[in-house]
Amino acid sequence: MNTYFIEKKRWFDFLEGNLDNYSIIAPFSYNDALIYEPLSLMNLDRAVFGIVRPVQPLKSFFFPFKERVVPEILEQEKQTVIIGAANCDLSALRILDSVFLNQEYKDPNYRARRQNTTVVSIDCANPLSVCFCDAVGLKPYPDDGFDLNLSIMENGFFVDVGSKKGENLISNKDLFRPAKDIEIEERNKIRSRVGSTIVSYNESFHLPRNISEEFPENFASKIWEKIWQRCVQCGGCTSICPSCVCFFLEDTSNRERFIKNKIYDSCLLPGYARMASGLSPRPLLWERYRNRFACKYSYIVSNYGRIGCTGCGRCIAGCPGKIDKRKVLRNIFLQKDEDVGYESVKYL
Amino acid sequence: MSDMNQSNIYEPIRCTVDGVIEESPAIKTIVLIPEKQFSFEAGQFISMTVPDVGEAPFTPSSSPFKTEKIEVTVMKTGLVTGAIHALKKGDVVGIRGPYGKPYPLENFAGKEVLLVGGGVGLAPLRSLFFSLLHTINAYEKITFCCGAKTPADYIYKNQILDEWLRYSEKMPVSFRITVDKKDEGWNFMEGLVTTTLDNLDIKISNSVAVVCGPPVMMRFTTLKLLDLGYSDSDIYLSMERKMYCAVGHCRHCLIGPYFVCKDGPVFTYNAIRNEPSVWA
Repeated sequence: MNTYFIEKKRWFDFLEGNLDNYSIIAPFSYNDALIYEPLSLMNLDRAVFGIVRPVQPLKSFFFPFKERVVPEILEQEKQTVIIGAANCDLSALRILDSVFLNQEYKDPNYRARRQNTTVVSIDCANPLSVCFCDAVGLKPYPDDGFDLNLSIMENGFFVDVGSKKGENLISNKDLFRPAKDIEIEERNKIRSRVGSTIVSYNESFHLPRNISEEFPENFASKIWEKIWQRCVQCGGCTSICPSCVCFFLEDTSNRERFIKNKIYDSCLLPGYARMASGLSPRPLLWERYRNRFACKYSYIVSNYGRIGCTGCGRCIAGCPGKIDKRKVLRNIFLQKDEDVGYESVKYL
Repeated sequence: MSDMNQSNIYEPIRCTVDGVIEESPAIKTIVLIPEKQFSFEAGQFISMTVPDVGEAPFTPSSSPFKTEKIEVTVMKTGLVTGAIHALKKGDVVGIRGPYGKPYPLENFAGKEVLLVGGGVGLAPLRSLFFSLLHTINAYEKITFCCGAKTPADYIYKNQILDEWLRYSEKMPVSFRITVDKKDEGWNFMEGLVTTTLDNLDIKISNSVAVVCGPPVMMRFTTLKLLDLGYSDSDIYLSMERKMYCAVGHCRHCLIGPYFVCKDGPVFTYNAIRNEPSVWA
């Protein structure tokens, strides 16, 4: 893999130079959180690279909350570049690829958007107190799965090239120079420091080294009947989860043609699996709550060979019932009966 | 396999309703003529769109060897099935598929095949029965147990009583026909469909059982079959779940880690017996 270095000032020149050729999405800071916005000449200098992972999951660009699937949305002419995802979201994108792309049946819109988009990830520099990627076997920086990856240094960025698409994006090498080994060593120190920070955030939960392998087969455990009690079944955690893929189809066809929309669904909602007869395999909230965990840590692993959770912590930060998923897991693994709530999330 | 060249997996094939057969007060069979060539194997299902209402999965009830017209037998239970019951000749609907795995007829070869169907659950079994008749010499014999609540609720009644019963004269096919509650004109058995499994003339060790019906019927039939000595890997169950995409994406139909839409809809009992809420 080739690694280049670009000075900070030149990075912004590079982006400006590509605004005509690409639709570029980059993170902007609002109230201490990062939100993806389209980049333009007007806001270019306010884009923020590499502080925390953005609030929106990367999936929202490939699998939006609601989209028409019949007739399918035609491919846009302009290529898109999305900058700012951390390794947690890149990993989630692999799950989405497994579901929508690497199967017998390909999702038409997803395939078009994936082909049309260049993903520029960034090393995580400031993990949030809700982050637990280490507990699901991920590092706060990616080894692959990106087109380009940025590592933020004091006076510039390292740029790892992960694909042909990434290579094409930086084909004009005037602004970049090859990175030196001694500089890379400096980056490795930062990466390992960030990794240690995340480990320190999660030590108190005593999670097993391999959550999916040790996830209990014993679905009948009484623990499940208690730990859901803070859940208000809003479906927020599934919507903001970077790897949740459940959706329903809405039909708005008319006499002339078929029209179908694909809209996020949530397995926590009572109607999710309820059939026309009124029967549901999971009529009780604790059964649905258990199902969400079983899906993440067991079923997705069986289906696609990778764990369905990336430890991004959004489901913790966004939970109106203030459920800390790590405490739920702790109770499951240690057969505890303690409260799973938290007081507040420390953001930065 | 479905049409792999079809670029959009969600685009249905237009079908014209050719006729509507009233099977019982709650069940109708819709006869469809697809605009494009469409074929399926017994046990596979289709997703049927009623424009501006929605889409739901159904296993065709017609013979897989008749492809110009496809029949779907539907009980009125909800929004989409309600709209299907309101269809008239000439209306347009959509179908996509076929999806899922067909009944594994190769596993039935040389065996005594027991079919147990209740109510609208006879629909997929009718399609399977036609397939079995097509290769009847491959099987030792076929025993078809049919149940319904009352004689008025019996679907395919005329076909069963006028045509199928006569098959037993020339083929190794026999029927056990029951209703939960009989009326005056009823000359067959009375009792739940599980009672038809008493005193079976079947060598269980060389038999497979195929069950389709409402969840409570499937549950008690399965328990009875196990009692009779059927191995859990010789009991084939048609599972039903809420379903949208039908192609293994949307995850609504999972039983544990298994997709009803692509791993099923037919499962052997041993494949799913340890998963939560199997009989929902």
